[in-house]
Amino acid sequence: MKAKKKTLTISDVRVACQEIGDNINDTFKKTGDLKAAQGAINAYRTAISAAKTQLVYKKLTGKPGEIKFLED
Amino acid sequence: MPTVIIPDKICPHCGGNKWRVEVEKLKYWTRTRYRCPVKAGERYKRWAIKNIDKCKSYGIKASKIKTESGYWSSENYKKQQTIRYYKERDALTDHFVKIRLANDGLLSQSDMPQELIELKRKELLLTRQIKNHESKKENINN
Repeated sequence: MKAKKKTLTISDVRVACQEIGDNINDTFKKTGDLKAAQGAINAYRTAISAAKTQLVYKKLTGKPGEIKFLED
Repeated sequence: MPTVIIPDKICPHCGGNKWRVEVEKLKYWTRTRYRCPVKAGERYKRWAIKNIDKCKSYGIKASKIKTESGYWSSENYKKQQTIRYYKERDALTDHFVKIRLANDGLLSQSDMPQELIELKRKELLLTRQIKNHESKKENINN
């Protein structure tokens, strides 16, 4: 059993998704399984959207309510 | 030539307060001149209509010239743009990936960090590989 990782902030989620994507990408390179490639793409997409939301949150003007999950 | 906003100085021509600063180095001192960018642009357009042949000979610099019939743009410029696009698409350059990322309109290209660009590049590469695989399958079936 692998140790569970805590994803408290959005940057943790992004890193975790990136790692998942890299792992599945390696399996795709080894086996050539297309389903693995699609899984890797999905993982990368979630990581990208997470990073984008964090960037948008940082860019917000005015005084929005603080969201701890989106902060570093 | 940077443009500067001077609130006290208002242009009698256009009523704006934007000024193009031109610094000229002379022998003993430097001279700064403030010119209205709107007036300069109008002057250039007037000149371009009169001297279209000269503008065409300059090539890419005068890519868009307003003529009496409409806008003129050189074919060479269009070709160069398409070639540049294809090259960037094949090589997956940072500029190309940034455009893809900033497609939503929420973020600009300058906001994108390098990590995000590399992630997007990986994703695009994988999608391309899948597409190539599917097209090869179709070709074999046909």
